[in-house]
Amino acid sequence: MAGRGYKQILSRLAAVLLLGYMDSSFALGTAANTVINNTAVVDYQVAGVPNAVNASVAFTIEELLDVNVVSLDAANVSVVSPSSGRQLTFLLTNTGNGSEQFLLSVDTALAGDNFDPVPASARIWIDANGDNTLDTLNDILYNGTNGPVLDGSTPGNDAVAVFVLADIPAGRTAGELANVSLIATSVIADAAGEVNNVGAEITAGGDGGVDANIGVSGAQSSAIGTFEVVNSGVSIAKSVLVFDTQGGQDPHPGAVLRYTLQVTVSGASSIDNLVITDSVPANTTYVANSIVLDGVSQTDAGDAPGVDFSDFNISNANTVTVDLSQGGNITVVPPASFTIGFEVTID
Amino acid sequence: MRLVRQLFTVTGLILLSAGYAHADDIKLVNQAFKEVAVVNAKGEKEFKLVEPGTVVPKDEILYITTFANTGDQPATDIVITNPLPNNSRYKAGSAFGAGTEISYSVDGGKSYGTPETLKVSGSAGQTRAAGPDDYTHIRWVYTGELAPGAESTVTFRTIIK
Repeated sequence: MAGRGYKQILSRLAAVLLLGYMDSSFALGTAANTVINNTAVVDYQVAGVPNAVNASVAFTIEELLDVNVVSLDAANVSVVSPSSGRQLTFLLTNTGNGSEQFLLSVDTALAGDNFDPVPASARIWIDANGDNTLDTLNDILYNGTNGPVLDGSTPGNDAVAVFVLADIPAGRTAGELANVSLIATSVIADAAGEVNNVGAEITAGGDGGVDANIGVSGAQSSAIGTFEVVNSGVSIAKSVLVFDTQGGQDPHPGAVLRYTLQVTVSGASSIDNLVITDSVPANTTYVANSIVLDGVSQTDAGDAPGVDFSDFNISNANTVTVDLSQGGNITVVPPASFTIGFEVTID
Repeated sequence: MRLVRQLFTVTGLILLSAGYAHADDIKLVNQAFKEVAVVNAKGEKEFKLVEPGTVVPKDEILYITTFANTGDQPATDIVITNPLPNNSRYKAGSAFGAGTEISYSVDGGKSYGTPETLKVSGSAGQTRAAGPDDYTHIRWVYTGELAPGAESTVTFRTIIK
């Protein structure tokens, strides 16, 4: 080959490279152990006689060991203190181009948070049935050696959800955070002692006996999920306004008392059969049909589908009852809030 | 191909008696390289071509096809055709060849055109302008004669899918 032409090519190629060609559009790369063939053909004539020759070159794609872990939780996971078996969800993707098994581990002792979930109880589940939902009958409890085998070159087999369960200790207060990371590591890279040694080559460590190469992830990836402590259960804030017969706010006989109950449902657990009751105070009389739920007037009659689920003096004597579960049919999922109002007059 | 080659050989022999060409006057060498960045003794970054021993997805491959006239007659009408390798995408603008006209095929080598003229069928029966991802073949038409003993090269780059 002419040295000058070669140099020219090189300088042009270097210029192209300096433009910084980056391409991250490949979802799944060419599988390890694939042979890339190329055959060039030259047609030509010498003294009017056509001829053709060809020349081939081939090489084999090696395996890239790469992995990516992300949190699948859209926000901090609300937990109450104490509670057990709270769940964080992660997605583990083999971003390499071969079939690899991954080791899993959990780190709860991370900096930058307020407390650590109980490490001994952290458990890792692999979403064996692929529904992104923890199901202890069908999913697999990780035991240190049965990590997921993912094929980075096969769509649908390259990723799996992983669930991490942890216990929240007692004595934590609302707003406190606990970070937990899930760490996935290529078994091959770990065995070869090459984790995080980007560019290292593991001879014959890849599919079909090709070499395996540590990719930009270092063949290890982690992601953080966060628990956030919230106050548990249902709270009710009650307030009263007085409307006297003179247009003022003096609570003399005949004055109307308008009570407002602000019901707040927080915490991590859904609530069934949520019924709010408030007995009418002594020396007052309930104002007929005065119950209002979230701005909607309610009847005093008994609960019935299609009417409403509020009553007075039916479910409970001399008491306002508002059935937020609508006869047991509605589960209240936090965070939720309701505003209930009713009126009495002073006897 | 072998049959065709033999036919040409026979033709060449006949012509040889008349003092004309014989078969395979052109020697063709096809090479693939990977470019790696290395730091030289001065601490500068420079690029070095290496045999593609370690190739993984997203790597860029440089193909160099060298054609040399090993005969004693000038070669004319030289056309180099290179199908894009499997699992590879043509890197836009990378084809190069001194003294050649370069065209591309998007139909498996049936027809060739320049990038701005190529069309492929898109969605709903519409055609759209072809892009580098659509190329199936690259063709270099050498515009001059290649004198005996002379050689030249054509090159292009791919990215491993």
